[in-house]
Amino acid sequence: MLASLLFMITATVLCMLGLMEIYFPEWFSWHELLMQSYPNLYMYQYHIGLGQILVGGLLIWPAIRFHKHFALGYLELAFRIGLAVMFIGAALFKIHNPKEFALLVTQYLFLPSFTVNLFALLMPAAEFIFGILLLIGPKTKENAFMISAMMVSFIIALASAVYRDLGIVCGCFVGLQGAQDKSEAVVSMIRDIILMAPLVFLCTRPNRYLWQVWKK
Amino acid sequence: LEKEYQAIFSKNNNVLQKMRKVANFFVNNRGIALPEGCKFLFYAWGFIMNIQNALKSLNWKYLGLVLGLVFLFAIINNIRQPEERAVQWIGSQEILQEPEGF
Repeated sequence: MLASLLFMITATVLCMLGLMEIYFPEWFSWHELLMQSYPNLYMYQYHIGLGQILVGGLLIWPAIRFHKHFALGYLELAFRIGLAVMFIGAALFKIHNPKEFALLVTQYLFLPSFTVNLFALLMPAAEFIFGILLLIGPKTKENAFMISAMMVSFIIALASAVYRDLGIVCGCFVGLQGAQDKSEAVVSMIRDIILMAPLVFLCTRPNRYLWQVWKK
Repeated sequence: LEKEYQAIFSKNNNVLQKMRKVANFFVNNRGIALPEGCKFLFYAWGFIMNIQNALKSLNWKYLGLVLGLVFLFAIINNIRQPEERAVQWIGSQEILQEPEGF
């Protein structure tokens, strides 16, 4: 079990580092150095970050081989906390300012115009409540299923925007000022597709509270 | 053959496992050359059946209750917002122009 724990902790640290590398590259000392030395090395942080996440993901396999029950419980705990924090964090600015979120949703040109405001009010509320329930509620399967359904809708909307070359910001975590360039929609879509894997895993887990993940 | 059949359709296997075993039974054990596409269809059917089973196992009353809570939360949130941040329930916002050089 100790070996399994060590592998899982290493995997968690690597995945966290990968995520920080992707979203906050300026925190790392090599960011400025790389950008000055290789200005054409566009979006290098995605390659490094995804590499770290991939290595972290591969470490899960030996952890499961050492102690399957412990490793799967650990994975459930980490995914539930990570996804819940992400969804609650993403919902906060949308709940705080529904008008700005409705403006962002409008730019997708995806929903019929009369439903945009309704969607902009209901979606953040659903993200917030299902995020909290995923964290503390006993119905893991149902909550993960609803979050997966939301994630699929995000992927479809982003794919439609990328296909039509709309050049919009994702609108997942920050408001309108967050737009940097057109590739952000592609990156957000890839992120959402990757995030489907832990959600599908959670859909297969039995219903129980967060503190009961290792209960047999 | 009967034993193999029982192993495939025993209660211990879920639908996806059953379909995989049926496909492998034809493809590997009996030397019957099913085209690859056909094998894929077996797997796809098993996957769809698995999703169907998973949907049946969900507690829809609980989901309905939480969705009711979501509606309530959204209504209260929109009411408590100041006018510059609140939106009409039915409607949309203006479509912005893309900034130059974006």
